Amino acid sequence: MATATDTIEALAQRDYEYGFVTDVEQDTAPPGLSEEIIEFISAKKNEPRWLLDWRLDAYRGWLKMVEPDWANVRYEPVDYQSICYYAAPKSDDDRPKSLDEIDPEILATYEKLGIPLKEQEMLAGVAVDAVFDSVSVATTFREKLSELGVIFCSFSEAVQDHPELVRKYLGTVVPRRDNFFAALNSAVFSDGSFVYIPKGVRCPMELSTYFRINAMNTGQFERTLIIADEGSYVSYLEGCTAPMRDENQLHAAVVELVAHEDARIKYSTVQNWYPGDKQGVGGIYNFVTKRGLCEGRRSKISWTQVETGSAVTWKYPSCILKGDDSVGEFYSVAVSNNRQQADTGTKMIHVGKRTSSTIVSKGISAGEGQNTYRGSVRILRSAEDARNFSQCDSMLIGDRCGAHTFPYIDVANPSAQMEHEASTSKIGEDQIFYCNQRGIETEDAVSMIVNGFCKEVFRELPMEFAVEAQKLLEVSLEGSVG
Amino acid sequence: MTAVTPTPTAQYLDLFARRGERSGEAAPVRLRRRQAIERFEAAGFPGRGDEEWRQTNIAPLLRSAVTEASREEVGARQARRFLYQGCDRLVFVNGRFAVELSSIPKEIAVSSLADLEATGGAADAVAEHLGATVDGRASCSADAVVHPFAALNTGLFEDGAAIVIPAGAAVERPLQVLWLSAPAAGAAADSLEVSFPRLLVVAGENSQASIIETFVAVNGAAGGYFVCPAAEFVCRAGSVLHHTRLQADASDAFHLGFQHTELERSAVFDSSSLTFGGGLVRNDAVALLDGEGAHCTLDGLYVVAGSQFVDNHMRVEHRQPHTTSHQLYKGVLDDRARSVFNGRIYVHKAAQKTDAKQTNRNLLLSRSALANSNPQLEIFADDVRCTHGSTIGRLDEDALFYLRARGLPREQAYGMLVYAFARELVEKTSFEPLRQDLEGRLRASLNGGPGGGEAA
Repeated sequence: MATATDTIEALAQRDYEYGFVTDVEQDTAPPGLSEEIIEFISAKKNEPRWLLDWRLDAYRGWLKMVEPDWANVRYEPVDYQSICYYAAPKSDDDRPKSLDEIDPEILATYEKLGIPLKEQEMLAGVAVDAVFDSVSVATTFREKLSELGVIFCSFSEAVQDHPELVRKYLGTVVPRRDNFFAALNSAVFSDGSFVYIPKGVRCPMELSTYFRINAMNTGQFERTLIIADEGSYVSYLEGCTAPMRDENQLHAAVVELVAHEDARIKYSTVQNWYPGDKQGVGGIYNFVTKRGLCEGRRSKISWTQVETGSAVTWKYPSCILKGDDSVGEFYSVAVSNNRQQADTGTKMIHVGKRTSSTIVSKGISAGEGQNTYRGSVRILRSAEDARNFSQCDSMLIGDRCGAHTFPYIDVANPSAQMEHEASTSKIGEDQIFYCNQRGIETEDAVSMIVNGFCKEVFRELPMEFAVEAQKLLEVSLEGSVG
Repeated sequence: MTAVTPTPTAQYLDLFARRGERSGEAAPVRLRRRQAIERFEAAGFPGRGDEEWRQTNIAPLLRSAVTEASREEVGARQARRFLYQGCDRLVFVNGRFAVELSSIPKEIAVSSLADLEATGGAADAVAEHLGATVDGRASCSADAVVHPFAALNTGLFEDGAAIVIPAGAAVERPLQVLWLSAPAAGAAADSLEVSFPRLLVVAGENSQASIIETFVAVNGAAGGYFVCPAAEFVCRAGSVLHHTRLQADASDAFHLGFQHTELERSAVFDSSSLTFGGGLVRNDAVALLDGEGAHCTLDGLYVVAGSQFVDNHMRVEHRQPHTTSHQLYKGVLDDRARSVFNGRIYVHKAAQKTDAKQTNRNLLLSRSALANSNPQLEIFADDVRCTHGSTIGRLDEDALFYLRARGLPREQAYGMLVYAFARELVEKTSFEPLRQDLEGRLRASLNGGPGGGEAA
């Protein structure tokens, strides 16, 4: 029978299964960051003047900022001047109208990832807006969505086709100078997704984007903006894998959500970027700013994330509960293995009356991974009868990893009710023994226990993702425990 | 304000320079004093940007000019009000030993730090331990930085108590250490009198004792003063030490203290910190569980109103296997009072089978009160049980209604419920006079119900 140590080693030696590089000719800007580069990006994308000014203002703000160092992560400093800030597939000029026109190599990449577009297209109701590096290559199901008035397109297209909406909402939730990485993103964002759900429309399918980092030295700077107008509903999926790299790749995305009265947004993420090899070489730096604004009354924003990849994760999907009776939710599973470091959590800012928030965070550390939950719950004086429930559990697998919990709780209204609970545990010998006794192999037992540990979060994932998430967790941890 | 106000740091360095070196002091202590003041000079006072001090605004303290505490005489009658029947006592007035008010037990070696030869008995322990750990440097993890006020105390303390409990002794009578503040009546209104009470307790192997620290001001002490205490506890293998720290300073006083505990194998340290007074209060407590089977309890209660601010910072480090720690902090906040709870449990790689529990519960009685709670866990061992919990809320309206329906006036019903919330910390002590005193203080502070005035 495999012992704990054996299986941990087995996991530790597992290579990244999705590591490969696709050769596609790229139209790349020279490395480095300057006002000229930003003007180049903006011109390349044929952007209006106000957006260029917006970018430049963010850039000037960014120049004055210092990289934050409060997170519980250690990494090699990033040389922002050696990064290419723009890369687009050659085929940009004559965009393919159907899958047949797409570069077969790109298609092959998706094939290897197990998410062939063709199958995706046929999959029940999932529209895929695939971002290959920085420019969207294919968008499906758009017509069906447009019948309902739903706008689901790449960010660059939105700038061309719906400038009034972009201008109205861009930067309203995450201001362009919000923080170091958000300002960087605002200055150089290349593309991303744009979603607008009109009043009273319930989006009939899960909207989904698969991001894929490719091309050497290209940081990706997506910008996602989702607006749910009054009484609408949308569920958005985001998922990623990346090829093996020796050089660290920077990823600084910004996601903004706006929910108007009675609107509901469900945002789910499965993140499986290249985490670096056993020594921690390579791997993606994932520095993301995600924030949702519950603008209207009775609106609801729900974040669900499964974080298994990246060398360093710095990510705090947050909710500003502004409208009365609005609801914020955060469900997270974060796995850090080998030398991975994750500093993740959420912020719930209660402004409106009777607002409520729920935080469920599950951290799993294995190998030499370091997992940190950092969360903030702020109940402002105006938030009468606000309610918060937080639970953050950590599981440690092996004795070289670490789990850390840093919740910040600030309550300025006595009618608020808030509870915070946290626990740290490991898989008990007795639990394994119990399963072994009943003929369940150690590995299956571990997988079962870990899945049980994360159940509360997986339950929140849409069908398509729940399956993938469980598989990911198995790949990340399978064989790692005894 | 005087015409020339020196910079905050310079004032304290000046106090150090004026004090000069003391002849009778052991060489290691003298060295540690100098090192401490050098570290303080290098680090300076913390700003808001400093994560450990982010929520503690010490600006009002730094704005004030400070002078050395005056040499006031306090009569036996005045002191007696704060002394408990049935225990031995050490009385300090403005940080200086008042021998005529004290009674020194026979089975314990007790020395006044200012006059080690005369009182004798604890000189060796002082040379070995005093100031060896107390500025927080010794709490090993990388982010442990110099605690500026502990360093100040080490550099500047004038007197204090060194208590050595011999191995195997079981001291029956509790020992009360009374720290009386008696600022001079005619003191200049624009400067604070500052005192640096210092306590060292060494509990010998398999010994048992109970220590009560009381921080109070003599009757009617008005005008601000600044108490900057530091205490060190060394618990040898198998010792059991009970510690109660009652802080009831004047409501405009500054109180920034530091407490450091080291536990060896199977030692038990059971401590309660009760905060009623002080305008700007900060209590830092560090406990290092450095031997298998060691256990420490750090409990606390803060009952504050007006514009009081109280900040409790705790750090418990599990360094060896099979160690346990418990923390229960409860707070009652009225008016514009603010509280911060910052507890960190740090479990080292070696400390398998750790069992740590941390709980913070806050009761807000007014709309303007604010509670901040930051319970933190840092865990590097995998076979541990660590939990923390935190709640903030107001009184249960249903319970209030129930009591009022039975004819209790609103204030009384309120008082009863708040008392019920806090009582487990008050009733923890088995020493009856202390228990009664705490109960009285709790009741007095709840008198008249919540001050917000607005009908619930």
